[in-house]
Amino acid sequence: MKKQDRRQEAQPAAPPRVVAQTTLRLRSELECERAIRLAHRRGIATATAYRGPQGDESSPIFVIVIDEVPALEAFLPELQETVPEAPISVIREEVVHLAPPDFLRGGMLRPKPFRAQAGHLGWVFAGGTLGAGARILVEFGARYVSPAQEVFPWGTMAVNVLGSFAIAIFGTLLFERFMEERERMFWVLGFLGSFTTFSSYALQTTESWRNSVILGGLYGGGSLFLGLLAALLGIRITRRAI
Amino acid sequence: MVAAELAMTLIGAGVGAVLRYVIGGWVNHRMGPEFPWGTLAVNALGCFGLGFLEGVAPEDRVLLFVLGSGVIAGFTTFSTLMLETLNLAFAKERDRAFFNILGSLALGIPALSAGIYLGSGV
Repeated sequence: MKKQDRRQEAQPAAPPRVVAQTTLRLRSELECERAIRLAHRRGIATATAYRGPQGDESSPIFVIVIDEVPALEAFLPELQETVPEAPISVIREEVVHLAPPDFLRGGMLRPKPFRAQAGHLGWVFAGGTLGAGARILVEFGARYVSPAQEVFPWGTMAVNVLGSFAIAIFGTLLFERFMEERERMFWVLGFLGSFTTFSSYALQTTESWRNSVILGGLYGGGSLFLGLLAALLGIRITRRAI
Repeated sequence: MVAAELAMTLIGAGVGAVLRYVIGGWVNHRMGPEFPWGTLAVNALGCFGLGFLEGVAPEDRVLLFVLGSGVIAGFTTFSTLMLETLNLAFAKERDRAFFNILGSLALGIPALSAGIYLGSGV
């Protein structure tokens, strides 16, 4: 009984009966990108672009912007300023159905409130413990293989580059929704987050910089360069595979 | 003894990862999705912590290993920084991607130095 009451309270107010819809005719993708990004920044409910009927490069691009009448009217002058040469037309449409119910008030764009879930914390903790174990293993191995680890911490560098490669794979799988939230907590936030380390990287860069500017620069810049390269490679390979 | 140290280091890293999840997630939520502020804040904070530790006990290798390789290394992250930078670059936000890398260094290394300075003063 009580639960039902709360659910009724949570229901948003009835949606407006009329919305305003603007159609813009643009000549370039650059203009289209500007218009859509501005709409997103201003929290406009929806801004969608499509190419004209011919569908080839020469046909114009149309952008449709929809929101409640006052919100759209307040947005129009700024939009016209952004794409000054584009013809803009505004029509009003009657709303038949709105989903989700708070769509026009930015329900899709608004970030969800951050709540750490107890179950998630457990997965992050477990992943973090194992990730650190793997990092320490690699660092000890590097020290065992070559004492150069003390001067040029190539073990930590390998960890960071390897971790960047792996997180790119997981990140792409996550983006394509091949992964569950629990797996993200364990692998991405827990294991890989703890496997790689920024604090040791910063300390080692300053220390080896003090010993030798060349080695310090090579370590500091090399880690970033190889890390970005590895992540790029990870994204490319995963996108090709799926 | 070595086993106990290792166990403490690993548990510390788990705690560090949980702290990163909570603090990073909270900062990201407060600052919005336009820029990965959470990772930046976490990394700068961790650099300060490691510097402070180095300043307080530069000779204590055990403490430096347990805390520096454990809770602080687990707290900061390099891989997320790389992925978020690439995501910004793919979203045609080149300047933000550049600032993400530059800002991490420009905040992290001074934070480390400040930590060493303050730590050695204690």
